[in-house]
Amino acid sequence: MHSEPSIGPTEIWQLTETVWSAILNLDLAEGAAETSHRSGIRVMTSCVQITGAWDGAVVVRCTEDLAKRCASAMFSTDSTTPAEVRDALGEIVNMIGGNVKSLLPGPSKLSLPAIAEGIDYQMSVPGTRVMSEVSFRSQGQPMQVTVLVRVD
Amino acid sequence: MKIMIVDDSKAMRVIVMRTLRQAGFGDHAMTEAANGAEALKMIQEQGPDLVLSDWNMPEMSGIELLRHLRARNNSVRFGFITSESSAEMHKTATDAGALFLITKPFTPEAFQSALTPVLAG
Repeated sequence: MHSEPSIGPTEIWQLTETVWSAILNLDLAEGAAETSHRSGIRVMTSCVQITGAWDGAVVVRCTEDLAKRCASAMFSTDSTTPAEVRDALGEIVNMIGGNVKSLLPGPSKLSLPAIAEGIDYQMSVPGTRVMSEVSFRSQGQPMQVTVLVRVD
Repeated sequence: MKIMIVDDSKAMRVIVMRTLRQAGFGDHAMTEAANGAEALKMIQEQGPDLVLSDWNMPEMSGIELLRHLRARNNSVRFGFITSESSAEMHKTATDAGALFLITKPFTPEAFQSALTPVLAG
């Protein structure tokens, strides 16, 4: 019987935890989904798309404050520029997305990261649906990692 | 020895250099390039002993950089540090002349395991 390739919460948790422990050395715990959508808070979203034998996207969404803390951990400094924060969040989604891609059928290509930031906005990848999503907390801040799969 | 780190992410170049020091390679000179095209020019000018390159970059990818180097008969030791690690990519990398492929996220131990035999040779 043919089964659809799938990335579940367990895989998302393991890949994200590995990035957090090996690269950032920051705390990571399960979180509640609704806290990352609180109104009035600056939120950053990074996304990579996978195209080829499997089509979809990986999205990391967190508060700007957490993105800054991640950048500080990566650059080993408390003072980071907005460009460095975008770079850091892009590299985080690149690492998680690259490892997600490796678990799915190939050959496929991983896009360069795209970043969105602002207050009270929604970002969507048209033609996809949520395959799996995990909510985390790190540094007291909410974060979500979502895997989207293209709908035929 | 001179090690060149090629990655479009400044954050990742910082982390690779930090991990090289943690892995015991801090006494080597390190230089940086932000993409394959910049690296190709710098490699010809500086002649590094080892290139550690990301795969997925704007301007020129890591695999394109390696193929350009080999087409010019440049045999610099070359390894990939990339978030993608499928069997297909390993084969593509080794077929093109790469010595190893380290998967992001990585540890100092992964660097020691991959680089020690390469730098000893």
